[in-house]
Formats: sequence, structure tokens, C-alpha cells
Amino acid sequence: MAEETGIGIRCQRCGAPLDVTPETIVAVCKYCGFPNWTAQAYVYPIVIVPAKSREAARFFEKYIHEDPDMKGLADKVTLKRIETVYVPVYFATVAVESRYYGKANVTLTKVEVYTDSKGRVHTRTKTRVVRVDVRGTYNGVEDIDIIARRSVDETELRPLLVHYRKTVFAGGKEGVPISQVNWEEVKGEVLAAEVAPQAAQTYARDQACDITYGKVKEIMENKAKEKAAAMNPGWIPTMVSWDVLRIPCKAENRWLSPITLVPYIEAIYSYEGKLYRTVFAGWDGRRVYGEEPMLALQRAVYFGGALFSSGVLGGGGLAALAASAGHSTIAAIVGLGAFALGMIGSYYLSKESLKDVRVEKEE
Amino acid sequence: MSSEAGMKSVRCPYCGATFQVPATVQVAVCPYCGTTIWLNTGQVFKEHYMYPIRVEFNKAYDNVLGLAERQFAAPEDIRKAASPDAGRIHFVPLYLYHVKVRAECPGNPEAGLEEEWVSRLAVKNPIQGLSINYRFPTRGRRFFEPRTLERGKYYQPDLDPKELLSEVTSRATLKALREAYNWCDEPKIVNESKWEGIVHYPFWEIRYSYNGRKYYALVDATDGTVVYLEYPIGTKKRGYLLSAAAGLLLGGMVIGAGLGYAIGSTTAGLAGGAVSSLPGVYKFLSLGVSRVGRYVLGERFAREDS
Repeated sequence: MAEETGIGIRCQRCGAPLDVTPETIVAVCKYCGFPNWTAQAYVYPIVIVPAKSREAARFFEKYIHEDPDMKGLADKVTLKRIETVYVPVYFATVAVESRYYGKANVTLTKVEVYTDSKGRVHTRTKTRVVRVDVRGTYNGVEDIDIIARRSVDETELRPLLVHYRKTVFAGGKEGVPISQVNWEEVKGEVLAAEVAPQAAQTYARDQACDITYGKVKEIMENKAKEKAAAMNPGWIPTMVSWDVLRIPCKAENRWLSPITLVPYIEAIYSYEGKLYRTVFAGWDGRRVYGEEPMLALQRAVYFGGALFSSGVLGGGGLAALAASAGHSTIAAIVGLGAFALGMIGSYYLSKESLKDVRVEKEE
Repeated sequence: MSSEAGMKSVRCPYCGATFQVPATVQVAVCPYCGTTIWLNTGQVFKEHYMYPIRVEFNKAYDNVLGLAERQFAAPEDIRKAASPDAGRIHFVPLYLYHVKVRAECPGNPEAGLEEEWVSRLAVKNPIQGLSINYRFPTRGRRFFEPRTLERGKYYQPDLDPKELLSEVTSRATLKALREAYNWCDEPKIVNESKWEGIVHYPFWEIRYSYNGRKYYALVDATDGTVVYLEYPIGTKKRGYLLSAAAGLLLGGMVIGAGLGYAIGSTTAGLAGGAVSSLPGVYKFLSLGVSRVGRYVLGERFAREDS
């Protein structure tokens, strides 16, 4: 009981206090780098991607002097805090199979041009609905990233992992065993892993199927449209609705990485007293997530956009609708569409012009 | 020991201390040793921990001003002219849940599958600016340390963790069912979701004044993130906002009318420009006429997409 009431758990190798909770599976000591497993049952490989912690400040300098949006502001930027943090992640590969089946209603349209008795040219749009059956088998492989922390904010971690796959994985590299790195050089705060390998596997299957539903539905929609178009030459399929849609997904775990400690460097800086946060990939210093100041010029551009949207799209659209009423269906539809777009644009761009920051992230 | 109205006494089975909790409380946490007691049964619950306060008042207040300065409508002299009135720590209890729901079909025990970890506020009356599904920062969990409780207002959880469990799992159940209907018509739900424990989480309540008016902010005390912020609207900025509203309306009308004239319907162009500028005009106007501006941290909340 004593351990749970605040005396704390200490590193088995150096005796330093560890940040451990009942959810912790493994806690890596931030002073000496030793992995402390809290339950024997969970012993599982753990590797680290060494961070260039000593170059953290250089990464930041490089960013503010080279980023096109930041270079002009670099003189007024002050770095407030910069830290290296390792986050535990599993990388998984999941094979999915879906034998799908559906009954679709496909809406097709056709535009006809005709001349009336007074010799004026008009257009009219015809629609028809046809029913088609779609079936097939989809086989796919999904790569899933599992952050081994429970109910955390993943805003800046997702872009970090996107960059990880693009660089470390694409380069044929992966983490190295912790015992092989010089801790003094790669040092940082290490977040304890809280998700067991088995739970990570389940989570990966869940995610892989969620992705598969979306992909298969798109394939089915395209198939339905193709089928309907082949049956009705000259008609263009526009919409698909489903009477029956079955996408059964079967997922199988193919591979699960060791617990991989992926490093990020978080920098907080101020610009004219205002605070901003930026995250760099720990291994190569790439800015993966960043808040940047919103400048007066950028606000003006958004405002200009809102003005364009209201005047040109909204005004022009409604004028086109009025001018074409009665003799050109196409022009009327385009006009109405532009008007609607104008309203949405005016709202969205006005809102953007009032934002406190611009957020950029790796995608 | 006499009890206050609506309160009851609890004796901690671990350290023997006696303390008072509201009569409605189901799960009590001993403020002396951190032991968690399930009051109906007297069962002691082990999974309780807290997040430490890592951000002191000055830093939290600095973050509040740093964020306020970033807001377009805030006055430019806010850092100089604002002054702190009060700062208080709230230790807010959250329940932790591991949601795991399967939907079985004949021949496929995993026809539907959902797994996630979520947290829920464990008190009925939340603190202003705090949503029920707070997402923690990635860092900073630690075992319960009762010593730190002396520093702030400590809340006993007063919601029934088991009732909340069904609420928390309902979304996952629906999703698992939807997945399973792809396999069979009558899937069987296997709910392995669990209430995993309590965590007490510290927030700074910050009160500050600007030009004689009072404003409120809430800051995550483990990583300094400002969760909720009220800020004054600067006089000059109010002028900008109102001009932007008028400019957008008039500009939209003029451009629309001009374009309409070219196309052959000036009136429709004018009306179209006016009407479609209204959503943007509303945006500028609503902030321009408010007494206070409000900022709510978006990304840590309500990320439970459908």
C-alpha cells in the first residue's frame, strides 16, 4: 500500500523517482535511461529513436530564420522554453479482407439542348434512377500507429508520426535498443507506456476496419456508378444511395513493432509578448506542428477573400440566376451554386480573419 | 463529531482519519492518505492518482496574458494594464474508463469491435470553462500525493461511476453494432468496458482585472495550457470590427451591383452581394458588440467524432 500513497516508485538502477501510475507498463528513467517494467507479464521489446537533444536550440534557430512565414519576424522572436520528450508508440500492420455486397439506387442525369418554336436555344436537365447490385472482395493492408498513452491529446503527435513514417521507416531504419544509446546525449523526458501490446493489437484491428469501411464504400460507389453508366449510355451518374450495404470487415494482425520511443522537441516562443508553440521531430529537427503569428497582412487577405466571396460569388451568382431565369437551366444552377458558395465563403473567411494563430502541420 | 447539513462523516479504513463528504457522494477519497473508498460497500479502491501542479501562478498568469494578447479583439495594452486579482487551484476528479465492446456474429466473435480510453468529469457541477471530456496533455501523470492537496480546493467525486460507464460505452456499442450488421442481423453485444479509477487533476482558476472590469480564465496546472479565457474587447478593435462588418456589407453590395449591371440584373446583384455578406457581417458584428471575448481550447475537447 505504501507505494500507492505517495512515497513513489524508484528506478531499479539509479534510485531516482519515477512518474508511475497504475496504468504504467514501463517507465524509462529520465536520469539514466533504464526501462523499469511494472508488471513482469508485460516484458516486451522496447527501442528508442535517439533524439538530437543537444541540437534542439539550433533546430529552432534554423526554423525561425528559414521558414518563409517566420524569417521576417525572427528578430522579434524570443525562445521561452525548449524540451525533448519521448512518446511511446506501437506501429502495427493489419491485413483486412471484406467480401462486400450492396443494392444501390444510382441517379443519372442528362443535359439536352433544344430550340423552341421562336428559334431560341434552351437546355433542360433530365434525371433517372436505376437499381444495380454490387459485390466483390477487397483485400488490403493498413499501417496503424498506436500512441501508448491513454486518453491524451494527440494534436501534435499525429503529424509527428506521419513524418516518422516518411523518414525513419521509409529510410529502412527503426529504433535501437535503449541499452545501446549514450543516454547523456539523447536524454529527455520519457513518457511511460500505458497500453499493453495485446490491447494495441485489438486497437489496430479496430482502426484498420474503420479505415476499410470508408475505402470499400468508395469502391462500391464507383462500381455502382460505372455499372449504371454502362447500362445507360449518354447519361452521367451523379448520386448513389443504398438499399442494402454490407461491408463485413475481417482484420488480422500481421506485425507489431516493439514499443518505440519517438522523440519530439517542444518549443514555446514569444513574439511581441504573445506566446506560440512549435513541435519538431527529435531525430531530424523538422517542424511537424506549429502555431505561427497571424499578421495584419494575412488578416487583410482573408477579409479581401470574404469581400470577393460576398460580392463576386454571392452578388454575381444571384444576378446570373435572375438574368437566366426561364431560358437556361444550367446558368441558373451555376448561379445558385455560386450564391450559396458566396455565403459559405463569407462566413468561413471572416472567421479565419479573426483567428489568433495559423496552425501548420505535417500531413 | 457533528455533521454539517447535507454532509456525512467517513472514516478511512486505511489511515483511520475521519473526514466529511457531501451526502450524495458515492466514492470518497481520503484527503489525508489518498485511499479511495466505495461508500456503499466500504471497498477500498486502489487505482487513484493525480497530476502534479507543475505550473506556478505567475507562469499560468503569464500564459493567460500571452493568449489574450494573441486574440484579435483584445486591447493592445492588455499586458501592461491588466492586473491579477486571484489565483486558486482546483483539484478536479475525473473517472477513467477503458471502453471495449465487441459485437459477435455466428462464426465471427469480432464482427464489431471498439476500443478506447476515455475520461469523464466526476462531479455534477463542473467548473466554468471545463468540458466533461477533457483530454489530458500527454505528460505528467503521477501517483496520488496527498500533501499537495493543501494547496487548493479539492472536490469529492459525486457522480456514480457505474452510471457514467453506461453513458460512456453507449457510443462504442452503437458503432460495434453498426459494424456487426454487415455480418449478421442479430449480433450479440459483449461489453468488457471497465471503470478504471479516479484521477485528480489540477487547474488554476485565474481572475484578473482590466480597466476596472473583472475577467476569468482556467489554466491546466500540469502543462500551462489555457483551457478557457475571457478577455476584454479593446476600444480601437471594436472600431475595426464594426467597420469590417459595415465594409463587408457595403463592399458586397457594390461589387454585386456592378457585376449584376454587367450581367443584366443590377438589383439581383445588389441583393445577392448583401445577403451573402451577412454570415461574415454577423461574425464581425457579434464580436464587435460583445462585452467580453471568449476563447475555448478546441482541440482537447469533444474529439469523439461520430
